Amino acid sequence: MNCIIIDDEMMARAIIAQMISLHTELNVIGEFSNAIEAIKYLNKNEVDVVFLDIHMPDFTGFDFINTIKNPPKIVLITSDKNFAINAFEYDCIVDYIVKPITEERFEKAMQKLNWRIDTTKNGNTPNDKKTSADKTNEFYVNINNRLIKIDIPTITIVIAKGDYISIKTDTTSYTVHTTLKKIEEKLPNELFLKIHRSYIINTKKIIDIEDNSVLIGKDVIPVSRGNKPELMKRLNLL
Amino acid sequence: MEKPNLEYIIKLSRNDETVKQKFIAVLKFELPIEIDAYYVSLHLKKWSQTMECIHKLKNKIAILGLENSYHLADEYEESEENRRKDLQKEFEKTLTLMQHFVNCL
Repeated sequence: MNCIIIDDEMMARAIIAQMISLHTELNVIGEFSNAIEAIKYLNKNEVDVVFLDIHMPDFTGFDFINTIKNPPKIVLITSDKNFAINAFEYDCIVDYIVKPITEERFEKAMQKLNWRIDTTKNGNTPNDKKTSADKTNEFYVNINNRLIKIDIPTITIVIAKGDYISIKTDTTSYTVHTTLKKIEEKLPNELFLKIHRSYIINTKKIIDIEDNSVLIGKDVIPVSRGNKPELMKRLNLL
Repeated sequence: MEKPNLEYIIKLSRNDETVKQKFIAVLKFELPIEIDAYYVSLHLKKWSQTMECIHKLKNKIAILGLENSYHLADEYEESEENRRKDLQKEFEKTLTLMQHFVNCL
């Protein structure tokens, strides 16, 4: 994927370029200290991803997004936490990283980017309910009258518990009053698989598989006999 | 007072000396320019421009591991005029500290 970096700070550009260099699928084809130069470049070149600073003099990152007709995927990188809310208004924004960027945080953004690109590629089937939701990689759950956002790629397991389900993510766990079937409809089937009548797993989070169970984080999840062939099909076996 | 360090840069460089030196070179080049821009805009009493300079310098402060100074700079950037003088003094101490550290690299 061709990408460009737009940031008025040379140091920030160097840091982003270094992080990108660890990802062979990304190829930096341009670095710009101002957004106007970048727009001129975008008009003549094909760019898949833009790493964009918001806070720039004269022409901000949001001015940049508003100016271009068909914006590519954008990863915002900024020191301003305050702009995060605006970011959700744009479909093209994949993630929002606050400076100074850590490798761990950048890695998470890359996962989101890859997931978004995968779902966009696979989302051309009009009847496919799960991929038609590919414009967003999050959903909101109602917990004690609060709507809490859950980033889909961070979900590791969903467990049915009677009238409730437990959604486990990389960092936390939520109990929600709904059914496994309902949440299954919200999850992209490229990433998630029901391996047992009470368990849906994120196949990217599997650590190992032994007999009829998979290890995800510290959880050992049973795999029902009927679902095992589909699970094995998903694996990139040597 | 906390001391600047290269922990972030070293981690980012993954022990690659060439990459580390590249970051240090950028720091040596860009930091004095940003500090000068700050003092010029302050001298000209252009607060919005000064805020831009503080905002940029915050990133360098964070890169050099000065956590407390980062919060102070954050406060300074958002400050009301009546509180600005004290914060300014502290912020400028940080600038001197960083410049001295970078000069010694």
